[in-house]
Amino acid sequence: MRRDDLPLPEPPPIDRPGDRWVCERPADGCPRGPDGNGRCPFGDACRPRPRWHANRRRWSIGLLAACVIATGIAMTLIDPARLFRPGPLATPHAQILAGTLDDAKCASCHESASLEPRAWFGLGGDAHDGVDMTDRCLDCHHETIDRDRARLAHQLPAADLRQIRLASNALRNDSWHDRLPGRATPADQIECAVCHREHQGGGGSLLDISDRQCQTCHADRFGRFANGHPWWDDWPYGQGGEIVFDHATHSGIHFRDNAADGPPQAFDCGQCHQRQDGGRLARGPSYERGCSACHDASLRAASDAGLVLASMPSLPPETASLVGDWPERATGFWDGKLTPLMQLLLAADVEARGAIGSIPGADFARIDDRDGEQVVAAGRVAAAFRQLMRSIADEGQPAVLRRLESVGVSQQARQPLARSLPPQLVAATFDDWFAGDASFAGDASFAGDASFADPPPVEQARSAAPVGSASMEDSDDGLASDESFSENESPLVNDPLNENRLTDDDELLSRDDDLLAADDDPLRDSQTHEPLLSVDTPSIDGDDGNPNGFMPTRDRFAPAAMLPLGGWFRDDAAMSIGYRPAGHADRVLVALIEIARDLPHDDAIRAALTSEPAVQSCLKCHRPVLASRGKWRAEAGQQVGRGFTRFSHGPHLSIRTLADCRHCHQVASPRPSRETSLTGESGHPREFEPLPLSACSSCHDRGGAPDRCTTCHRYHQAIRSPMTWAGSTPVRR
Amino acid sequence: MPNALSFRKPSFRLRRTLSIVVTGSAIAVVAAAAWVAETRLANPAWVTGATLMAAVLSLMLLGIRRRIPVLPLGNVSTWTQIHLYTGLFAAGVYAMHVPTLIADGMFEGTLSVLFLLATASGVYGIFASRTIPKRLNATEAQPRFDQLAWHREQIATAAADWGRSLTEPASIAVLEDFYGAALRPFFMGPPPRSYLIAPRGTRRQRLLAGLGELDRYLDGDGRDAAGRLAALVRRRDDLDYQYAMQLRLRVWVVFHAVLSVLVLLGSVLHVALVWRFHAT
Repeated sequence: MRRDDLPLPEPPPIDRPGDRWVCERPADGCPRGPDGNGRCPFGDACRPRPRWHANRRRWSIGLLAACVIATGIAMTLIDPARLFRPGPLATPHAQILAGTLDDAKCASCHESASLEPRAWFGLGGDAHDGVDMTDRCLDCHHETIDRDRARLAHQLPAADLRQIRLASNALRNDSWHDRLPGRATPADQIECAVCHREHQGGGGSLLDISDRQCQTCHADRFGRFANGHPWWDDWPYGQGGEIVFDHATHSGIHFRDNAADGPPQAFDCGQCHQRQDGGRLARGPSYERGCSACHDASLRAASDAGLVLASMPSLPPETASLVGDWPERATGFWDGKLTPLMQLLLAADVEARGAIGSIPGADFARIDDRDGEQVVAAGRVAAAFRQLMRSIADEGQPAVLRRLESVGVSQQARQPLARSLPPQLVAATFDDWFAGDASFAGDASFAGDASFADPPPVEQARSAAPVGSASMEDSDDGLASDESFSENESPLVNDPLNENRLTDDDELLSRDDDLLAADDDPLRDSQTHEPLLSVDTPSIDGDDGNPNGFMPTRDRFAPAAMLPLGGWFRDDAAMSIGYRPAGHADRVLVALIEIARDLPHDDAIRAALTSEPAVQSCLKCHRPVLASRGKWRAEAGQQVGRGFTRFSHGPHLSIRTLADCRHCHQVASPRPSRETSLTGESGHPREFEPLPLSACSSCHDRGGAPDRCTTCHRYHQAIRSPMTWAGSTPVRR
Repeated sequence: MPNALSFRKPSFRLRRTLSIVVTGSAIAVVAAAAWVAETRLANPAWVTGATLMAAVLSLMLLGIRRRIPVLPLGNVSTWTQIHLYTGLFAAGVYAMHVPTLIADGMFEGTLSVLFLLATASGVYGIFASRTIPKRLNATEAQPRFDQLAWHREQIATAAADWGRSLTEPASIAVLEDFYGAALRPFFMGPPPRSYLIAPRGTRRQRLLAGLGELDRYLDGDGRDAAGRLAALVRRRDDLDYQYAMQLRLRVWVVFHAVLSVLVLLGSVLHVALVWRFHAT
């Protein structure tokens, strides 16, 4: 035994490790020891000591109690809404609700009652029942998302989605993605929160949508953009804007030809498509800045032909006598053609509309005297024409508006035309032509034509009197009984203005003789010096206002010389009321095109209106206006629509190689005419060489530029016609 | 000769490898389920959250098992291993469930901290369960925790009787001075808190060196008495070391258990909130 070894006694034999209490005298204690509550069986004989088990329980319960008490205190001191909020809102929502209290913030989206803890367990009333989060979202976002379609996938009706799906199914490839389970949410019950998850903090984005989420519903799923994305071969589609512009002919023909006349002009894309704020490119320049230099002259030449509102047809004497009160100057042989504008205004008269249909080409010169139906129809049209003039002369703009409305022209389209037409001009013309001239009174078989004071609606008129269906006998009966236009009762008979009119045939004839004798008679060689067709327009300053040496006279109005800014005028020699356009963006021409847009597509008047040379000169560039919702001006910037695909030029143009537009947009070879142009899969004219997917995926790939679905595609779509999506169908290479 | 068909318990390394593979596979399955949920326009947080809640409940089964020793539910060692790898699995699922490691909201953030603390304490438990038993076995005796106080009293009593065999007054005076100044506080008092947190041999070495320095002032009986006191110092220091190590394990169990209960309570409340306020 070493000197430092020391034997110690062994532990007492009474040992109950599971007990929570131990006797303070273990060496000589009683055999029973303390009970489970730490009490000695001998009363106060000794004070048992707690073991670890007892201390552990005490500490555990104490800690848990402390936590529970701390939680209770926190719930008392801190508003429950703030205490249990899972996380801060996204920055846009947080900014909107920054000035409101916590309760109000929560109540913006959550039912306020449900914020009470009692409500979580169904003890506090209705709580969250009936609260639809998507409805709460739409309370603010209803301006951009239609409430009725908010839950539809892409806000598209099921029929549209089916159309897109069927088109995709024909092109899809098999993939292991097809074996994955289908979507958990029906396509018509997609709530906002399925994709937009709130309470992710200011750093989280509500728009952080994963590619997997996007491809949930798609028939053809793929891994990444560079490998598997549906192929396209017709993008950019080409003509799709409001202004028709042929890049191929301008770059390959017009600019090249102009180079022969002067300094070569480079076809610089940036001249028209200038960068705007935000990096967007202008859709195009204004007419004055980008087009007028080359197109002003041709546009003025084309529009100089002007428009004719009313042109007095020439009738044979026997027909004129039947019409009654027909100017003798407009009597002789069949001549004159009904202008489209006149047909439009006469169309409000059911019988006149039918009669016009009986006249070949609405041209009186083509009337066959042996065809009694044509003769009667011509007389009826002549009477209607006189009634038209008279109603405008008497009532002014309301007569025009009423007639246009009756043929289905919208208020927006008919008002500019009516506003521009001066009723006094028509009244004076009517007085001169009908009341002031010696006329064929005859038996006035057509004099009592049906009143147009209240023309029937166009639908009723068309159904009641189809073209050419009116019987002559019935019409004659009706016309003969109407004496409202008899000369004695005409308010124009006693018009003091009539005293200055040319009422004497001899005087008119003598004046005609003078006109015929004049050297500068514009009618003498009207075929070559027709002022309406004159290309050269005099300056409004008047110094050199007549470069051709043509001096206007009071006998024959010269619109080119006297109306350089455009306007309505009357030509007594041709017995017509015409309009001279003011050049680009003429309001009357704009109104006429919008009137044509409102007419049915198969309407002959619409075709005639759009065939007018002046109108044609507009439609050459503004053809899309004839579409249902076409616009006159190009949008301020590109890609402002709500299509599936978007593209921003801004970030791309900052790359040196992409700064040259031709790197991506190579103009296709010039073609002789638009009719022979090729079209892409989408049906749009192809102006540029197709931009392949590889041109994008060379940068937009893993490790490079973003290649997520939402980089180029929008989910939310405005309500559009199913036909709109036909061109958006993806194609597989 | 051992029977060729007898069951051989796999080695610890093999068992650990298998357990890690199974745990990793389970995490991969949950990740795949979450991925599929996202591809179905479902919320993957529901998948990971339900799995995490189930894992937390499973972790609680170990405590229940320990409180029901009479039922034939397998030994606690197996349950502990299952508990350990279930905890690792829960940590993996938690990483998939939360957008950030610690949530932003007050309650959610507190729950995140509690879960992370419970996970960290569990990881420490793995470390402690691998190292502390070895350190406990390194001492001469391994008395039970609830008997340490009795042993401490025995040592203190034995140390107080040091002077019975001495007759030399000089030795008695020297040892009495040293006992009163250094040994009495050591034997009579509890171990200092610094020693309980980080037990080191400094105090033991200092006392033994002091007793050794007294030899030149002691006669033969006095040296024997000093030797017995040195033995008692070693016994008491070993006892304190046992106490510190066992107390560390027991405190860790209490800390881990309390955190686990708090995580469970918080998780239940979190589920109630999610169920009540889920967006659709």
